[in-house]
Amino acid sequence: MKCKKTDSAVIGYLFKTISHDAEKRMEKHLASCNECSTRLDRFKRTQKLLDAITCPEPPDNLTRDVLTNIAAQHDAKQPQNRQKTAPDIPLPDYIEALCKTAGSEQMRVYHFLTKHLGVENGEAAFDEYLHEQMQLQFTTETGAIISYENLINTATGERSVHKTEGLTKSSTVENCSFPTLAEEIGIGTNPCETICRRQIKLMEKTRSVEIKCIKHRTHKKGGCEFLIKPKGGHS
Amino acid sequence: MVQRTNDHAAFELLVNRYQKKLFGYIWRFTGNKHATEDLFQETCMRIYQARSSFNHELPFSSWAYRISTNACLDMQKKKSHALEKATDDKIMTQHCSAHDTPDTILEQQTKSQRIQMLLNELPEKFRAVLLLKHYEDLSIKTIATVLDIPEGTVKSRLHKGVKQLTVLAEKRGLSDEM
Repeated sequence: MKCKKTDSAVIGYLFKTISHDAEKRMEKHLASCNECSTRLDRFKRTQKLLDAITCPEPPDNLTRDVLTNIAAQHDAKQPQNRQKTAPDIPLPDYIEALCKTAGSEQMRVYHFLTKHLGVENGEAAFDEYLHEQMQLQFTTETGAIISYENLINTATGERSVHKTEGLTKSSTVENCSFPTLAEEIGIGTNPCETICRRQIKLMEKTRSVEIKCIKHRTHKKGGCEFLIKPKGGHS
Repeated sequence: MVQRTNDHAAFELLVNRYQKKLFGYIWRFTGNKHATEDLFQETCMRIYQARSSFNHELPFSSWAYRISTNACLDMQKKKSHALEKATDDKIMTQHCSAHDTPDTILEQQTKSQRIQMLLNELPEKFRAVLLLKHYEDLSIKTIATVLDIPEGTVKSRLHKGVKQLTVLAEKRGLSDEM
């Protein structure tokens, strides 16, 4: 008598895609059904064929090449952005320019650090800076979580309010409860001031300079102005 | 999370951790050394470019398999050199034991190549499921996630793939060698 079990049932058993109970039932069935045992042997041979395909080790330099290519593509995109947001101005003018406008903060910080610390040390410092930034998250009154980056970009007008989930066009510092935010970056009074404060911290950390804000200005009016002098020296 | 740190070092860590698995998967998908290297690079590039859209509820490996499968399918669609040439390539670098004699290596290469050719004859959708199940040992549920298809479809493709491969192997007399 022809067995009613299908090939699929046998393959399911062989490749362990059936339930534990079904597997037990199939084992019992196979013990008494020659037709299914023959089918199982046939598919087992196919399974063994698959095991016979040998696979080479990846070449030693493959990962290095991949990472080099990715880094090259990444770098290829960077100069255009830098050109756009951070003109190549020598010190000390550059620092002044940097402090006068706080928009596009990240690119400016990147440019500053790599220019004055060298690419390797500058990028390491920039990574540290980004890492620190990425840890910051703020919860709005509606419970939405906003990243620091999105918030800053929204505050400085680089990102549309509509694109930042959790913020509405009518949101202001007064009616939007960002207690941590207000404390951390002081967005309520002057976002530019706070962004600059972070830059000052970084510059003071990486350069032997002291920086003092002499005039607070909003981002739209060109940002704060700072006095820069060598550490322990005169302006 | 490593994936979230968004820096080069973290990405290098991921590439190193998954390179063997992904390389093996792509190798079996294409059967061609050059195509595998190109597709591995392409996969890594896509992973890097899409890192911000990575869904952290998925295991990273599932996401990586999905990207590499798509890269393989895209290349197939383009009728690129690699897959077309796979069956013509006489020299494929194989992973051989240091104790293998030249004759054994040659024999293994030939058998391995012949089976790989059979695998390449399967429709890609069957091949992907078969590879993910047999070599990567993924569950039906995970394969469904990787390929973004229902679990029933995964099972059906697996069964059809095995049956087709069995018929092909029998026609070529490869089953008798097992």
